[in-house]
Amino acid sequence: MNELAAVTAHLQGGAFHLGVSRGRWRQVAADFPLIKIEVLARDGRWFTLRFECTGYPTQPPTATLWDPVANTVLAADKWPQGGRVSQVFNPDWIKCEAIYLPCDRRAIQGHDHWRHEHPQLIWRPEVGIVQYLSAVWEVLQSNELKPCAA
Amino acid sequence: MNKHIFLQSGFLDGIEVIELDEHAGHTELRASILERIGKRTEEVFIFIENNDAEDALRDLSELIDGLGVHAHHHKEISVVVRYAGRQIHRVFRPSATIERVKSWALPEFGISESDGAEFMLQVAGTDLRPDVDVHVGAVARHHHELTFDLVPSPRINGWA
Repeated sequence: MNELAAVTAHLQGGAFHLGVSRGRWRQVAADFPLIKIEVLARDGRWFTLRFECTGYPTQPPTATLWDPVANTVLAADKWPQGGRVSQVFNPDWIKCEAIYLPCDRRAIQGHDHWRHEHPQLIWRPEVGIVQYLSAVWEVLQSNELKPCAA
Repeated sequence: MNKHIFLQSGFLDGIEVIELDEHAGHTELRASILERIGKRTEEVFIFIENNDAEDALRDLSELIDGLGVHAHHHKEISVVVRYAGRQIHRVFRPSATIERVKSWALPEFGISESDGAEFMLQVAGTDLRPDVDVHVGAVARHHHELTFDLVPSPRINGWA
């Protein structure tokens, strides 16, 4: 199975569609290897993740937050903030180019200690992109998430 | 418009979508479930997600798009949750979600719903933390007992 077929299979799978049905995330665009999926935060904001899926699923995807209107990386001051949310969404790390999660292809580089600190967040090819989405959704439900600045 | 039913089961490795005609009822759904898991009707019990009634599927007047169902060979899963040196126990239907188990456990341990957002359920003795929508029957597989540890949500630090 090639990369496109693999990611398509995961996007058509039951776990992805259940998340859509439950209002946790929704796919907005796909132009392989780029895929945009919105994820809902606890305060009602939708954040767009732009995934880059080269090498999928052997290699994990890497994702950043995306501004669908400006069609560019989301400005740093619009990234979700607060407590453990700011640890994952850290715009100061590699200039907003990736999300700081162990299942991200960029983030795992140089962080081998995550393999024993956060084994549940190490990329699992058989689960695929839903693992990444679930991790992002879980962080965005934190009560440490600061409300959007007016 | 066709209806999409989400099937979980101790017999399946993941969540499956059953697509049914808009006029389909519980009889057609039951047949589709049995075909999907390769079992006969007398071998399994079918439950509706987070519904404790034994015959809830039969009593449904209409199938709802997005309905969650579970097929399992046990009627009940005995669930233990451990936290801070204590453990609590309750029996759930296999179709109970991880979210429902957590919602039950949090006040039992004196944790508010708000603070509960910083905790997850982890299958004891593993590093598996099932998603909130996963059914306990899908985690238990062929067993009828399941133990979770209530653990803090991860904090991702950059340096060891």
